[in-house]
Amino acid sequence: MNSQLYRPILDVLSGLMLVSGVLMLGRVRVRSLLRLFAAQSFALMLIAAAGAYFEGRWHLLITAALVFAIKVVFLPIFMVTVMARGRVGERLSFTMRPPLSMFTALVMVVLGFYLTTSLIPTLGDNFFIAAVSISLALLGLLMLMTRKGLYGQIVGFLILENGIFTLGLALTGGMPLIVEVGVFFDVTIGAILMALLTYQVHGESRRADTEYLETLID
Amino acid sequence: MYIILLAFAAAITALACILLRSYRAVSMAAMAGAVVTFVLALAAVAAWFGYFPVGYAGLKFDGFGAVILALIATVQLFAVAAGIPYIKDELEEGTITLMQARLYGALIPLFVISMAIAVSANSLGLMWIAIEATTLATTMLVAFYTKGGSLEAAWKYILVCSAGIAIGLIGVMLFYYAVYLAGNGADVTSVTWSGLLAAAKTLPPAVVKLAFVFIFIGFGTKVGIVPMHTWLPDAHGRTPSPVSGMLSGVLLSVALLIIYRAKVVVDAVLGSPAWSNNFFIFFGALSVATPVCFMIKQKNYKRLLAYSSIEHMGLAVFSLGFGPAGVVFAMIEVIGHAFLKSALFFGTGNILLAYKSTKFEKVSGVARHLPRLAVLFTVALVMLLAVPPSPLFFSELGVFSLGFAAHPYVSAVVLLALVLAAGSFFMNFMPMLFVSHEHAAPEHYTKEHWNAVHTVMVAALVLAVGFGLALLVGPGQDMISRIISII
Repeated sequence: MNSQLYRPILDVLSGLMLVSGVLMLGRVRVRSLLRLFAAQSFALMLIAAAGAYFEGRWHLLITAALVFAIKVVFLPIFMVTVMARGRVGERLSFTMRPPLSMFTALVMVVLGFYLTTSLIPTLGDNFFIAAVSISLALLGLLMLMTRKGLYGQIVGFLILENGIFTLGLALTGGMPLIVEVGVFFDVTIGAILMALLTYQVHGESRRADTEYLETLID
Repeated sequence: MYIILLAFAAAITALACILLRSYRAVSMAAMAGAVVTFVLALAAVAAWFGYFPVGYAGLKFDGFGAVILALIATVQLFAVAAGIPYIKDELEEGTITLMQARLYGALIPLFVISMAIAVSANSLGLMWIAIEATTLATTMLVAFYTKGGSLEAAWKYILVCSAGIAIGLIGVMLFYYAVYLAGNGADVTSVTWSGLLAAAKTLPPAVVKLAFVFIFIGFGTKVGIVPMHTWLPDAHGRTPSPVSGMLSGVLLSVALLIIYRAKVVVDAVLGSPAWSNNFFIFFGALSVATPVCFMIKQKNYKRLLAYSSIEHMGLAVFSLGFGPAGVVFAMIEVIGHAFLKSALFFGTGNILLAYKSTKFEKVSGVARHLPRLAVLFTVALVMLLAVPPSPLFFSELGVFSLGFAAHPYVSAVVLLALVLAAGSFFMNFMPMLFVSHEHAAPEHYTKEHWNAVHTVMVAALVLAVGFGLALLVGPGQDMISRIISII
């Protein structure tokens, strides 16, 4: 095993995750957003697989398989199916326009790197991947807050989760298998429930944004 | 051991509710499941307190955890009992279908077992999974009526809580990282509350502090601590009333327990509780003061009760910032609130069934049309406002005696907020209960019969008042000193 390659591979893959995260903030259509999400999750899968290969943590292979099956394949296809059956337009709607979102996203990345340096000083080699994952979590939160579309919010939540998952890999080389499987199970059920709720909203209102969902205020 | 039996009971009940044909059978299965859960959970609690000799391996928790598990056991039994006539009524009126009733029956045991696991899991990872599972199990109960408002409430609930708990996951991972650093990079197989406490001296303080902040924000979302509370009035206002009772009565306290455990760890690592106390006092005071603004002019009685839950949780959080005695008062607060608030929510179920509205303006003269309910509701209301012998009287007296000594100005604000909240209760509820208007009469009026909801409210009131009285005399003193010695 050539462990010299490990670090550059990790850095490139996590860099790709970050780039796809920023790009996602600029998407206007659900399908292209989901394609980018699948690509990001594919990079996450490769990070887990690289951890298994170079560090001998073979349980990460199971994690990688789960990431592939659920985040790369199942969730994007499931959401596209729900959208097609709900017969709603696939344009996302925003409270913040895509160009401005992308600019804010870059600011978030800077903030993420700054936070990582100042908060967790003991990272050493893992600095880049940890900073990327914190930035991704911030990007996910940004997406959650600035998208009115239900799909945009679901994907925002999933980006947040991808970031946190990467952080787990960076900090501890992966949580114990049972915990990872459980977290995965929860996230998957959560995303399915969100999609089902979205489907019910389609049935009630023929649209896919939160304007219909603004009656409960004090 | 117990937790596995509990999980079995929950799985069987859920399956039975989905598969059985008639509502009668479903409700009997649900009730049987609730009774079994009640007995098993109480046995686990008794084993923990040392009253019950059979081993309780696998269940590890602190005194606070044991109390919360006992609350879960009791309130779920009440909620299932109160839910049977409630759902039956809605079924007969065609508000819901039999399939929805089955789903309701099946989701409740899953929700209860997730709470029980979250409380008794020693592993932080397992605890996180269980907490997120409580959100997932209740989302469909919030969306139960599938009307616009319910979907909105469910959407806010799952999104805000899942995002919050995801942030809590960062905290959990940072605890793993702290253990990883302390062990010089050895693989971390599991991180447990007891393990963290035992290794407290070796953990790096900077990472543990950061972990605590993330856990406080993340799980604080689930407690309903103020800047993260936005989902709470919607979700509690929209679910079927028996579920509202469980959400308010116990789920909030389960999340509070997690934050408390994180506090115990960070205090042990830092060697002093001063740092974390500030969080609890500041956010606790904020959570008591803010909801009052929404309570005074509130139009919806279920939302008013929900805001009041934020307030009581805020008071418990506030109380946790005052050392061991504060913890005891927080516990009393949580216990009293669990019984009284769930009783009130169960009562709103009957009001809703009779008047078909959750708005104050559409409901009047409850005392005339539903006299039995009105009496019980009023008693519970007065007890919730901490009139002795309510247990809340003792906890609030205790909190303020600690608070005024340490932080007089903050405590004064909190006390003022509580007074205003009590005022908002009287202003809004008394006309609804005791004044009759023609335009706000019940839509669906049949002579009131005694049903399970009344029985359950009586039981909850007896428990709450009994607990309050017990604090006055011998056994309560004994229990409190026992709890203090545990802490």
